[in-house]
Amino acid sequence: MPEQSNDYRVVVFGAGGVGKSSLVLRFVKGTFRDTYIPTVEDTYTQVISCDKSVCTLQITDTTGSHQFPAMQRLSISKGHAFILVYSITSRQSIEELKPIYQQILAIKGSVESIPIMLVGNKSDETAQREVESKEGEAQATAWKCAFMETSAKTNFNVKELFQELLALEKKRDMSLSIDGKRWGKQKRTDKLKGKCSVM
Amino acid sequence: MEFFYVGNHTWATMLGQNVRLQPVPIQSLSELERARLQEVALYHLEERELEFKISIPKETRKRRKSLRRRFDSFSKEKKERESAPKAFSIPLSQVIANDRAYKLQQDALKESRRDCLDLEASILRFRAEKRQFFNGNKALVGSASLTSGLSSPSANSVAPAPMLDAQSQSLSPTLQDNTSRGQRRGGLSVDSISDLVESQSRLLEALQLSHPAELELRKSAAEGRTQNKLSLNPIYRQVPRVLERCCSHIQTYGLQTVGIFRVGSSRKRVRQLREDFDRGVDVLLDEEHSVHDVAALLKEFLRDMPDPLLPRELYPAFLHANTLRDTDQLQYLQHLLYLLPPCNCDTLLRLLSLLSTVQSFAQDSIGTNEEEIPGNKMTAANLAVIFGPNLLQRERGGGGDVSPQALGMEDSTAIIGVTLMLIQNHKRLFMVSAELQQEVLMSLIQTDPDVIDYLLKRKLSGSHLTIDPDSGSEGRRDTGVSLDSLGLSSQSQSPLEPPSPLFPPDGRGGESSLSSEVFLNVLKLNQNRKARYGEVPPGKSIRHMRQFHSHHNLLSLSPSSPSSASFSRLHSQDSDSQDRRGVLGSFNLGGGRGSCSSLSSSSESSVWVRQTPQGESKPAPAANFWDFFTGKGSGSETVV
Repeated sequence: MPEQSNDYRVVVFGAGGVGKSSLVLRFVKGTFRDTYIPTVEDTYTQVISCDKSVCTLQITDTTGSHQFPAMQRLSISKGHAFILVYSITSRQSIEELKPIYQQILAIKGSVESIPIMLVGNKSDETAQREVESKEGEAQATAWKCAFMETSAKTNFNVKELFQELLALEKKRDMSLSIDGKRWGKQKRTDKLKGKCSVM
Repeated sequence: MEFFYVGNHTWATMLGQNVRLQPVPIQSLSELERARLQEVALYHLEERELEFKISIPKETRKRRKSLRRRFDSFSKEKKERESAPKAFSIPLSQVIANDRAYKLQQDALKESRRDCLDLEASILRFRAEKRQFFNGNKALVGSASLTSGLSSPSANSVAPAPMLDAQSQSLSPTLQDNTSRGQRRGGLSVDSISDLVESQSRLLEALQLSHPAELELRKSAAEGRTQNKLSLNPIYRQVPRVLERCCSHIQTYGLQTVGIFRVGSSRKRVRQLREDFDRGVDVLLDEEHSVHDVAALLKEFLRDMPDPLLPRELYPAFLHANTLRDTDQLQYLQHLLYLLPPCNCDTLLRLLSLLSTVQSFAQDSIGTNEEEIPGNKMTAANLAVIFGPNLLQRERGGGGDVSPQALGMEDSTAIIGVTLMLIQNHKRLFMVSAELQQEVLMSLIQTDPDVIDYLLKRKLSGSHLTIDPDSGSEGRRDTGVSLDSLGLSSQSQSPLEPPSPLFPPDGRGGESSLSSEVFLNVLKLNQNRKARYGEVPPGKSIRHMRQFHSHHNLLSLSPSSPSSASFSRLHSQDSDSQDRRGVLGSFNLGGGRGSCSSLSSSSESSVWVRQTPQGESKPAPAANFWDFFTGKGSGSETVV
């Protein structure tokens, strides 16, 4: 278990080309570029409010193309929360999350208290859809984690994804805004109705 | 036929045949030349005086898990041991040996089946016709299967064909032959080995596959025996079957697949494929297989090699390439690649040529029918990101150190940079310049003079092969390698070997002095070799070195000449050879008659050198002007 530190580390996993970097960049920089460049590993930091103070949100964007088990284990053991991304246009990409989930389970022992979000990205590409929302939800239920569909391209549900993930952390009280304003739980649930389900 | 060096990387025979050394692919060099090239390259790398150690990597390393494995095999069932993986997670040379064993087994099968064929054919009096088929008749497959009645005779009955015609042309290089046959059969590496190899050189083949440990032995063994062990023919292409099959599959089906190598694969199917290859099954990859699975399998093969394709011990050396620029960088990388064991070298070239092909389909393009062909988006940079960490891994520290530092994450930019260079320049990088070939030959004269003729003969008969448009000399000249021997030798004056005054500029242009410089390099190289292998004490090795003079410079031979070798008059074997030298005025290798018996310390080996002045037709009168050098093992002077 990672120690309670001033960092809160979120690790983004997923197969190659599902849009991990696009999601992270959309959230961190608010931009989207239609490029096709594989990631080695990138980490972004952002200051957020946490337990009436501030802490650093560290988002680690991992590589999907070549999994070195050692690297993956390292990221998992250091991570506090996880985003598992697949592309709704590729059934294969959701299959590839399974061993990663198993790995998280094995290293963390239990996923009960660990915020994990299953994310179906590229929700704008409806014509190429291979994975229905229901299937994603079912998978999330099986994994006892949250689920959401997003589009980094159209900026759909991206900020919500990170907000929701932080809200899942019960040990700390975190929020993206640092001015102390909290997102009321009620309000968020309303807003995300139908798109986000917390299992 | 004897060759004389006439300068300018050109060797001539008495019959007026000329061999001008051309840049050639490293694969076309003989095993002996490649072994020597490793040393030449190492010498040039050491000249750079880098702060890390560079050495010629050994082909296999001690298996780290050997103890545990042994323990396992004791504690588990016997079948466990038999199911040791045949392709993945084992040293590359072992993979190739396994492929080879499988191939031999299949050959034996074919052999027996062919006997059956022969028998049946003779009974049916079809033998004569069958011969015709073997010689290229199109009806081969149909009638052969008719004849035999066996279930899968077509492939088997083709096999004898190369055997029949190969014997007549045993001397000619078989490389071109081989590539065309390889392509015909889909470029399967081990299969094409059998095509390449003439029946009589099976023995050579066996030699070439001998274990690396043996290679070490050979190197440290007495010099005189070296040439008997290392083959004078090119080594067959040592590419593991699994890698070759993956490469040709992707080249056939995956070039237009968006995100090839990046997009994920089915773990289950990849594991299945991996297990099949590991069991030694002859896996045929076809359109049934997903290109992403095959791509993942390929990456997994590279990733799981105990020592990566670019050996760990050269990791800092390869990363250093990033600090260099342009031609210097290319040349440096070339020298590093020459150090690789042949199997790594061949496999790397195969991989890089695939990656280069893949990246050439990265952009969208317009097809012949005006239709738009979507690119695969995998540029060389993208491929480098994905393959870099698979090719370059640093030495592992002890224990289970999994910090990002231990995993080499902080080097990733450099890793990717080098990999990108390799992909973009793979064609040039695997060529060997005329200058380096010359150095190799000069080095070989020192130790194995009797093989020079054979090697040059092979180059002569193969020279027409090197004129293919792809590897025309124009394109390769600009690597700047042509200057290397000059540049390096002028900056390489180590205290041990002071600058030689033997070759003052005589205004006759660079040709002769270039070769002289090359020769001096080689002298130093050979000295290095001896020092390294510790067969000759350093002090003594100087005496073993032969000096190289030209008659133009005879006067400048001062007693203070750098090497302690003393000079002596030409010791001519017979008047006949002297005549010949007089007529041809060239570099005569006495080695052809065995008069130059290399390093045996008591022998007086003589190699005569004359630098032919271009356009200056001064007939060289008598032996006075002949220059020579002699191995002064005993310290006695040899005088005519």
